[in-house]
Amino acid sequence: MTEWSGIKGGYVILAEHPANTYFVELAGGLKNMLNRGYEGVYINSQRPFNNLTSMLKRYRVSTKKLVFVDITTSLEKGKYSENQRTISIAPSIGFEHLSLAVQESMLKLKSKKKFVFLDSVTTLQLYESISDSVLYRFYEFLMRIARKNQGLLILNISEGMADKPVMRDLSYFIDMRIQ
Amino acid sequence: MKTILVVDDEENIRLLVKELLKGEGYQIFSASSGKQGLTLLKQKKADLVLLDFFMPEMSGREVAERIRADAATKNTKIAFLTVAEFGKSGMDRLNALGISDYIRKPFDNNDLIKRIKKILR
Repeated sequence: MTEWSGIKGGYVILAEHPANTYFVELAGGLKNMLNRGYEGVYINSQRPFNNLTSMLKRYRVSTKKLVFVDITTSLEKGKYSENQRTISIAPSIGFEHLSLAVQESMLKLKSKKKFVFLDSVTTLQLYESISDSVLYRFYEFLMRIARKNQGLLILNISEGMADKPVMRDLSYFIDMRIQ
Repeated sequence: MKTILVVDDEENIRLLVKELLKGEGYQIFSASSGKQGLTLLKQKKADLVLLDFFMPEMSGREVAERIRADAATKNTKIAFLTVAEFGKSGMDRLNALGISDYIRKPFDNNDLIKRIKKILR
């Protein structure tokens, strides 16, 4: 992520990262936000939670100002760590599970500058146990709370995914694109 | 009598809009998916399509694009129902697509009626 200037409260931001440097760019963006005094909710649908936290540490991203909504561990029935927000699901995730987890996580953030960081839109679409209808409601919910609370919603995707139907729909709500 | 097609995957929204607009003298028919909406639109002419933006399988955006691409329906008025506010570039694209208005959900009943009347005036 190279260009983070011009961000305003209430923005929906699309961050596109090259597949081969996806995590490096993502970590750079996160560090940038945290250094500016933001705190955030990290919605993880991309990789096992333990892998995620160790990778964040490797790239020197402080996890103290992040609260995690860990969808991956939930869906893979993995072991939860103590401090994370998790979603209990079986056999499928409902809109209420997702929205409640994010709302509760937001309450844990102390800074007035808040963001929700979705990693990633395209992997979230791959889970068969979450219906498209639930996901669309969830995206609407995330965009609505970002606008209403003057927070930021950062939607991460791999480069080249912007032409997927869901991204073409979401693009109508994007205020800023970071490549 | 003006005719409105309501396309929304949420039944409660379809029923509410139907009830409200029927009371204002409009003829209403409804569909629970984009595909169904397009099929209905081929069978019955509508003056306005009130379209949920986010629907599974075929989104409101895609339905609107198809309505505009079809010579038989390209001049039909379209308004979106949406929970979130569109971004600036999204608004420009809505204008380019000839969208008459967009109404935020949850909506105020009187506001919905007022805006529909304005579109169909």
